[in-house]
Amino acid sequence: MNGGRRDRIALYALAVVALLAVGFGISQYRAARSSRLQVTATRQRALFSLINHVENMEAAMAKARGASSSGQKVTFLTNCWYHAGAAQEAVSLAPIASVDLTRLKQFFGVVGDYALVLSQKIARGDVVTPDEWAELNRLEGSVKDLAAMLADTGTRVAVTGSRFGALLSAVPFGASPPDDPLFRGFSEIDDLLQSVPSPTYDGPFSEQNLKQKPLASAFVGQEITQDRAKELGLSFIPTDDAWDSVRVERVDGAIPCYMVTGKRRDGSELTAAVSRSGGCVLWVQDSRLPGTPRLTLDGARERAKSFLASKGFGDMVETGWRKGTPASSRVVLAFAPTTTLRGQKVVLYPDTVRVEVALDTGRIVAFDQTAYLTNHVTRDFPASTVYGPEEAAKVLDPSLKQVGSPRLVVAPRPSGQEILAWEFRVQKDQDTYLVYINAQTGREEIILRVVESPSGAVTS
Amino acid sequence: MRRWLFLLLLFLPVAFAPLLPSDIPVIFAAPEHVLAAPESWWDEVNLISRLIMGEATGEPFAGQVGVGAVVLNRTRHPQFPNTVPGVIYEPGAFESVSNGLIWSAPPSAVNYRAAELALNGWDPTYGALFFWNPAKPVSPWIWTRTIITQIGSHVFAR
Repeated sequence: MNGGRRDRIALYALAVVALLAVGFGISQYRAARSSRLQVTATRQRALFSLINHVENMEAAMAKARGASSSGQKVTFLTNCWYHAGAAQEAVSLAPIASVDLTRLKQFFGVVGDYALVLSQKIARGDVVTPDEWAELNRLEGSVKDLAAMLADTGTRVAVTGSRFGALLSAVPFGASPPDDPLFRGFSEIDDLLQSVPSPTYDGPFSEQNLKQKPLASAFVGQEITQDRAKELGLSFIPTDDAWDSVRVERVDGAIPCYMVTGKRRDGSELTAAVSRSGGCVLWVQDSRLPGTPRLTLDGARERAKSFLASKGFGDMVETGWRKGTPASSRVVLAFAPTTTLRGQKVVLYPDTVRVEVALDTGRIVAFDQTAYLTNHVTRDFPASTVYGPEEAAKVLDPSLKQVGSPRLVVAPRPSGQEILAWEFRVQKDQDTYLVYINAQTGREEIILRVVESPSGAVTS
Repeated sequence: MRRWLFLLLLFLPVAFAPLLPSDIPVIFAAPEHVLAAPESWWDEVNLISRLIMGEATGEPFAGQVGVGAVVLNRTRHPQFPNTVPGVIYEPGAFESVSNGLIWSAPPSAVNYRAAELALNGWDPTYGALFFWNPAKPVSPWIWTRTIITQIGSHVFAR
């Protein structure tokens, strides 16, 4: 009797458990199906948005070539850049792991950049050469081919459907690729792009700019020993810290160096990169987290300046500062070196060095002079073509209020190309700007907005 | 009877599965000092420090800065999205995003410091776009990239 009752209880319990399990299974199946449908919808949307943006790119390029006024040309070229960016974003949202989409993303990046560089050229009054227009025409042809292939893929996907789920994962090595319209379409597109040469131009995404710069040539001198590297690296920022352990690693690569790491008892570490040739300290990073801030910004500024002076830096101009938050216990300050051109002081922005000061003890906790060491060369700007500040100021909009006097600077264009320019600090309404007028052409080149807050003075 | 009990035991984990920790990412509350600064700069610091936590926990400090620098270098390259969130959330780009590790714990103060240094221009990788641990299985394709440097157990390449 007792055995029968136990059996019944167990049976009921099992029935309840089974019901719960079935209910859970159904809810999980529904949730999984809903997620799958959402992913499919997102990817379908990405595909059709992509088609739309590529068609708009092509139209904008054609209109830019057909436009007569500079204003219209700039509008259409900028429009092409916008659609190229949106197309690239759409590709990034479609994780088709079984096809490599790198070439497609690069194509959109480069075509958009090329259009933007041409529009900037026109906007600042430079002449776009017939060859450059021909290059745009050639790229437009490729965009047109791409648009047709994408539209075809879109039609095939819409008509036959596509196993989107199957494309989420990469095809295992040696396995045959899935027979899917989307996969086939993007494979054909990748084949097409292999035969499209990159445009030759000077922009941030041009081939010569994307190549790794030959950094090692900036370092000359005798090869130093590991012991010397250890000495140079750990003493670069004066300290009486006791090192629990010290590690020196020989690193090959773009700049052959020794990576020196001193570890303290509390687990924090100081790392310095010391070039093997000449023993130059490229950068130092200390992971120690400073305590309660005691130093003011001006105090930190003085510490940074005297540190730079102790390292042999001459006249340096502070170009910005930033704290993580207004209450942060550390501050990063940027300084640019200066040089003299025909008796005029010139600020060299590309050679900026950065110093981080801990606001508890005033110690330098990070330093970087890589840009200084690899860029700091004697610049050659033909002095005969340099405009004066009064002449350059004529370019400024009369509604802008000048603050202080302009200064001569070397500033990098987005492509990295350096220009000699007059930097005007100006105000309009509630905003402050830095406007750069090319000192050799007299044209407006760069506009930066100065953002000042309790946590920094930076430009955007 | 034993058969019933056996079946009961078999079903128990299924029945209580909804009570077990789910694999849905949980976003931990941001540390207080993050909330103190409304600047959008902090969105980037937060995202990058999370990625550093997910990808470089246990790596030397310079290696953590290097991971942050790779994200920023990618935003300036045509093969990648041009925003920090675009790069970090690009499908399949980072393992810690694919497996949910970046949401598993809040970043440490050192992770935040590394992210800030990277955003302030420190790049111990000199322009790297990729990093990987050679001791772990990786796609053979990755070895076709030009190696720039090595920090800790990560190789940085372009």
